[in-house]
Amino acid sequence: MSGKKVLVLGVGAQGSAAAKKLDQEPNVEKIICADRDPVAVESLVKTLKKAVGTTVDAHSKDSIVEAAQGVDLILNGLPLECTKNVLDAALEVKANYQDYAATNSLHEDWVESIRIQYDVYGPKFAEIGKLALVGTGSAPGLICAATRDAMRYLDSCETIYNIVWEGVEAKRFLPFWWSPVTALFDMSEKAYAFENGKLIRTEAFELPITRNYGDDGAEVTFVEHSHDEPVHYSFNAEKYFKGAKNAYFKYAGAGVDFAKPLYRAGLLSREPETIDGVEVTPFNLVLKHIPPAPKYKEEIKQIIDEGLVTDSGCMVIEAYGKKDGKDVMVETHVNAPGLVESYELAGITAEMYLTGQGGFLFSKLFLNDKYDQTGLISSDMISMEQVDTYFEYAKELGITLETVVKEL
Amino acid sequence: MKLMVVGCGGVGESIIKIMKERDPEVQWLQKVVMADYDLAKAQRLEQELSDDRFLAEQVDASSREALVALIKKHEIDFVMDAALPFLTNTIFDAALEGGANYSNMGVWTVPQDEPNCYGIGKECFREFMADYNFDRNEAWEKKEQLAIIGLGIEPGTIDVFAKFAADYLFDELHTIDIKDGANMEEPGGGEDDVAFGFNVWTVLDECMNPNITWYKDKGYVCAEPFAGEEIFEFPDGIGPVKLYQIEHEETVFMPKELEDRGLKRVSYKIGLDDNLVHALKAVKALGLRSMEPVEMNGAMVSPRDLVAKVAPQPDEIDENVFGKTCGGVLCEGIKDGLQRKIFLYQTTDQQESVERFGTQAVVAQTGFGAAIGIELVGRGIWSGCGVKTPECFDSVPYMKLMQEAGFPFGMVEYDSEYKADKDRRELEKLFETL
Repeated sequence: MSGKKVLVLGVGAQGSAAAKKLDQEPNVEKIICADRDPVAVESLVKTLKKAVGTTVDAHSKDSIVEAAQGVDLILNGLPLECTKNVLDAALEVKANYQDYAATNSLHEDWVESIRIQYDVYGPKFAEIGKLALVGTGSAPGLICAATRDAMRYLDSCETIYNIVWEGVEAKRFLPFWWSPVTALFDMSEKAYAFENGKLIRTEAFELPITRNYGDDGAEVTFVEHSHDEPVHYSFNAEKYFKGAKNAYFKYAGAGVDFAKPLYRAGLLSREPETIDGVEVTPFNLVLKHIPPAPKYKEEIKQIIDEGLVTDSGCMVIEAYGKKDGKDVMVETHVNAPGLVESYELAGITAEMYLTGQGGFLFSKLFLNDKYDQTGLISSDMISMEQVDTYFEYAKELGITLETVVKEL
Repeated sequence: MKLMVVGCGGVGESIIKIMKERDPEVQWLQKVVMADYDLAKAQRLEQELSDDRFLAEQVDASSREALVALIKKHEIDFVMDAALPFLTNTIFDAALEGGANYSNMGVWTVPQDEPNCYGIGKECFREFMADYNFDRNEAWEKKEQLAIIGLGIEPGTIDVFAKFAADYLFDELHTIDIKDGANMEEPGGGEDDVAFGFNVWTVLDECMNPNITWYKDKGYVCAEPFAGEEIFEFPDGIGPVKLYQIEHEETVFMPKELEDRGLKRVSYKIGLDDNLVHALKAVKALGLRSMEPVEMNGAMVSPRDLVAKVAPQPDEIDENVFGKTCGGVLCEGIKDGLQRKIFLYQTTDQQESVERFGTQAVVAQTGFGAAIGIELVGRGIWSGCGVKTPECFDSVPYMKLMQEAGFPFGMVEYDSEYKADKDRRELEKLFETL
């Protein structure tokens, strides 16, 4: 590809961050920003040099096809339920495809939906000679590339932990730095873990582990969190993760501390209750009362100016296995800017920065023709050469890996 | 006495069962009407008690007319309000209109929706604690009817303790600090489990309303929820418990009746489990404590109604819980010219309570506090007219009845000038006999 045309679908936090980065890339000739909200599209487009705007109804494949004519890459920043339409549209216009998280739109069972992506859509993209790359934000995405990187230090792998601590906490009431619905859903849903070679469901907020990743080595407790990574790794354990038998996603942060007691008090239940003759779902009532994640520059500045309780966090990969016959643990820390630094660098939150940049780096591999695969892959299936290139690009954005191998 | 208990939840049931236990020979209790919105709940109790004096009735306690009709139908002379807190003023008015005496276990207050006026005074509230009741004293006196407000354990028994301390343990009673704590544990329970431990409505009210400490030199000082964190060492093997200030009636009742005993401060603190505090803080931060309806699915719903419905109910967590709950008054003052400090308290064991009444300790404790007061009225030992609090009556018969009914109290005498003097005199007396 040269002089690439990219369709950015959805101009929310992910889409707009991606569009801004793409606009600075020499290999990008044109960006089409598309959303159902023309005002949001217009306000983004006027800040970019190479962008045009259009409106789409993502619940209609034909509407997406119309917007996607002639593009090289469709970047899907839409809600997960729209993924099927976008995948089908990409196939129809013969474009490459990239998204941020595994969809549940192909089957009522999420794991089956992911399997369908691989087994049904994979061959279809291969047939047209294009690549669909799924799960490419920060987690999944950046963390998957870092997990692949950790594999180079092992001969065989037994267990993988992907560990994320969202330690940014504002003085004002702001429990979540990304979509509250996604956050609360991921926290209160039974999670998936890959254990003894099988995918199992784990209870929300359970199976705690503690690590001294806090400020000055303070102990942080991480709990189960419904996320894509263990599911992807379960599919790809043999080929990409040195035969790993176990994989867990563990999460901590102010959001967990906020949501856990609500969950225990029954307030994150998705079972409808009848109150004064009205059917209400507790989850929805809670959601209605949660402030949205900050998105705009002025808003973020105001939060920083009001003061932060903490501006910490970590993304860590622990991979346990054997090297030269010895039991070892590979501990990889992903170093990335916190809130204040992200704001200073890009006028956005740490969450937006890491997701936006993590995703953009996968796009950049597209723009620079670094993918030789066709079909459908998840971000944990990129080659070691692609991992190297990814982190070379990442360095320029202040995202680095720090790895130690500890003999056990 | 022809008694009507309005509300057959945990505490109402507990009162009813204690009443039956206290007067098996029909000496003073002729009839008990058990009225609840949920008739089946009252009928289950009627069946369980199998005593002709105890009758189930359905009532909508938000309707004064319905309550008055029931009072008249059964010629009720005493109404015990064991219903949800927001119904209390309606039941209070109905009792007056129906010609019955009345008691409740707590009063209804209405804080400003977003109180931003913490400090001295009543400004945090749209309707201050017990003002509704005290403002109607004249009407109750005029009809020669008696309303005893705050007749449970706290307020209730605890106010009797304060009165007893003022009358018999101190010459000058300077401070009363009420402490309530427990060491409940559920073996096998999740360490993150959230237990409300009492009626969810009441917990939401008491913990998240502005809380009040009374000072003689300042008046009512309103603080934000969860203020005044401290560790207090409870007796009877309970040990240290983390306490917080919450809104409670005693800080209004005790100064009203005991200020002339030299009182300078009345405070109230209760032990709250960390998980419950986290849950309540999240509920508060979200504004889910509010009763102001919000639009959901095209209809209007009160967030607090939903919280109260889905939260773990106290009657769901009885049987597997072990431990004790204790409430008492930490009093400091002067006795015989010497500084003195005591803790007068009542402790109830969870498993004993479950075995005896089928309810958890704090619920049985509240029921006992009420039942003993009702019995004293029923037997004509406590009497009068107007709107009263438990401090207004003789504490001795109440405390004697506590011991008799298997609801014993205890006292801790702390190191003080008074204790040192008392110990010295006791030793001297002992040596005289050797």
